[in-house]
Amino acid sequence: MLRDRRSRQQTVSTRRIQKELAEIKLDPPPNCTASPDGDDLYKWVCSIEGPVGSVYEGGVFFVDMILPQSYPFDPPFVQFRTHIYHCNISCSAICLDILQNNWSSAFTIAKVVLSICSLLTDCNPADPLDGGIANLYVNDRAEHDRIARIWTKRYASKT
Amino acid sequence: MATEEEEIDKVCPADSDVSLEKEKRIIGCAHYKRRAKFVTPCCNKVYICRYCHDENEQHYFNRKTVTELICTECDTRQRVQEECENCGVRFGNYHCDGCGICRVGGRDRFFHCERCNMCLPVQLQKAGHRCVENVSRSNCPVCLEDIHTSRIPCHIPDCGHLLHRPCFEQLLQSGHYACPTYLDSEVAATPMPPEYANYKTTILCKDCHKCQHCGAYNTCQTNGFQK
Repeated sequence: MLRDRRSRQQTVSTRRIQKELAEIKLDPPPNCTASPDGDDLYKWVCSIEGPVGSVYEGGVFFVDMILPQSYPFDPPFVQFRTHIYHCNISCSAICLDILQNNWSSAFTIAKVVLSICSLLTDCNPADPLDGGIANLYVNDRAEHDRIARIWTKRYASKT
Repeated sequence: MATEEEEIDKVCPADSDVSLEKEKRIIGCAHYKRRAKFVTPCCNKVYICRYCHDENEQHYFNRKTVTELICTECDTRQRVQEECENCGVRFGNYHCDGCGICRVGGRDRFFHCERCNMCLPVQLQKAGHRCVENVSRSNCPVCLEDIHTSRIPCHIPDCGHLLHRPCFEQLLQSGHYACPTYLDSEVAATPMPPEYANYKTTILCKDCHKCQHCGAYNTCQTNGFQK
């Protein structure tokens, strides 16, 4: 019974991911790319261009996205592969509500990538992953921005 | 060595076989019960339905491009219409002009809601339903497949959004009680586990963004639990 339910869920999951892939190819999100890593539909690699006007401008950030077998009923696990100076992003996790409590099966990979893009534009120091960066953002914005630009140039530069 | 009767049976099947053959024709295909085939303008082939076409071809079929039908009863080729111009047989169950497609299930069991822009069960007309403009013209939030032309039955939560019934059942099995399109129907009926009965948390209402008394379940948690 449980195995039957799992296999049925996997079929829904695979078809859903294939549909998302087709839609991303047809209408890719702006300044981002997202595609499966090789033949594995459940492992995606995304790239996000630093938003224009932000401290991450000029950088390209690579993100790994692992989709659970229970996708879209459970959120993907998202991890930044590129170092980034951001109070809501660490090397192993992203503090984004839609990837935790506020996940909905209506969200797609493209929407997740766009949400990460908007997180780069507007960080949330009230709910930080890295308290030190959040503290600096609130108390010394200029210094925070200077360090973020240095990190972007060092780790995420296009050239 | 076959007898004369057996030879005759091979050439002229018994009445039951004829009616069975006729029944097969009436059924149409695995997807739809209809008495017409259509000529596809894209590849100039004959199919019973768009699903049959899509399963056998390398491209997708736009049903709105059909201009010719073939009656499965008398094989008359004709323009698109509800009844055969030659034998008078009715091709489908009923055509809804509002939806722009032929529906199954019988006209008397459904009504067309102008605002929702789709056919809904008559029970909802009596009981009342929450209208959401062009609700079926969006995809199912779980499988992302089209709802309007889908043959899969739909679940209509109190919020008025639509999703396929099997998708809704899988949501429940996965422990998700909220409507994926951000409005909720099932949470109210879910009892609070005793161990959390006295816990409180700050929530944000996504419907009205401020009040605490609008009665919606479309909420998210903004901080941790407090006893």
